[in-house]
Amino acid sequence: MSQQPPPSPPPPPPLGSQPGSLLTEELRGWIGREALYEAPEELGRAAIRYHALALGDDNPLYRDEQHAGGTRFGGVIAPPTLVVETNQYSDLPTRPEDGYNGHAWEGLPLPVPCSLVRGGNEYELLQPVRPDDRLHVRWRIEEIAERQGRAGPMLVLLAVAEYRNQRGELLATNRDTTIFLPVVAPTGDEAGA
Amino acid sequence: MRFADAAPGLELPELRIELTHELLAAYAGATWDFHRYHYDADFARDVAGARDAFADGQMLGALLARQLMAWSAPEGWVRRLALRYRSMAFPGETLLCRGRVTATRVAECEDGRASGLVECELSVATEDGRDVVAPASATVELPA
Repeated sequence: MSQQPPPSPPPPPPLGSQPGSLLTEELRGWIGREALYEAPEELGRAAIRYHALALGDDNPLYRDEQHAGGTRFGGVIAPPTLVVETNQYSDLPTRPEDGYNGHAWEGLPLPVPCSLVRGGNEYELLQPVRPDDRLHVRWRIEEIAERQGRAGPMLVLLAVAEYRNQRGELLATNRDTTIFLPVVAPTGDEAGA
Repeated sequence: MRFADAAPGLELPELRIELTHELLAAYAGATWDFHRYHYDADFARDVAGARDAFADGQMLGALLARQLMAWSAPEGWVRRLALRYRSMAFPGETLLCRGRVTATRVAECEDGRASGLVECELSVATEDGRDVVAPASATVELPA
């Protein structure tokens, strides 16, 4: 994550100090920030079939129009969690340092250098995505909180994504939790954490 | 699977996944994810302190969705899926996806149809017992 120097006012307190030290006013100011990405074309059958193939999934709902047409779905649908993989329609350039090419809160003002760990996801999948859907997603920072982890204080960021198609129908929501763990310097006071 | 047959306590057929570099690369490709964590072992070691390239967390959710959709076929739909990631999963490991029905209920949809909702508790663990995704839960929708 960001290795930029801490903001000048106020200077960040040392790690391991009282709770509240990581959640600066500047960081709190990012709550409510949004990012919007829109796919430039329809999802397409090939993307659906490849997604199933990559998972070793031979379910005919994802590839066989005749089979899928005879079910309540009425035609081929995408595997349930395809829609929450934002990279496919974020259309972002590849980041040279790690190859990442998806959504990130670039410039998030972390008061100390942190490593990023995925906490969890909760998906509501309101209706199946279909080959002719053109997807867009709106990400929003819902909450940033400081919690006490096993190794000391950490930041927990809850972002909520809403996925819609070209008719504006809400297809899915995703509550995504990311944990930011301060990188402890070798000379710090938390050795062995 | 019919809604009437989904009783609390029922175990889902276990899904056994041999994690390989091919699977990680295939899923990264299918989700347009070019992050080096998923195919570059040296990078994963140096930057993340991991012992090898590692699986994307959402891939584990996708595998649970595969298991739920196979079990509830052909009319079932995964309406909700909640995951908490516990540890990284690496090529060479065997993952066991498990699930159990905890409750069922009938709800009315917006269009007036009755819909059966099946609550499941789920987990992904390595064959030697390390939690990878836990706790996890899902709601599967079936025509009632």
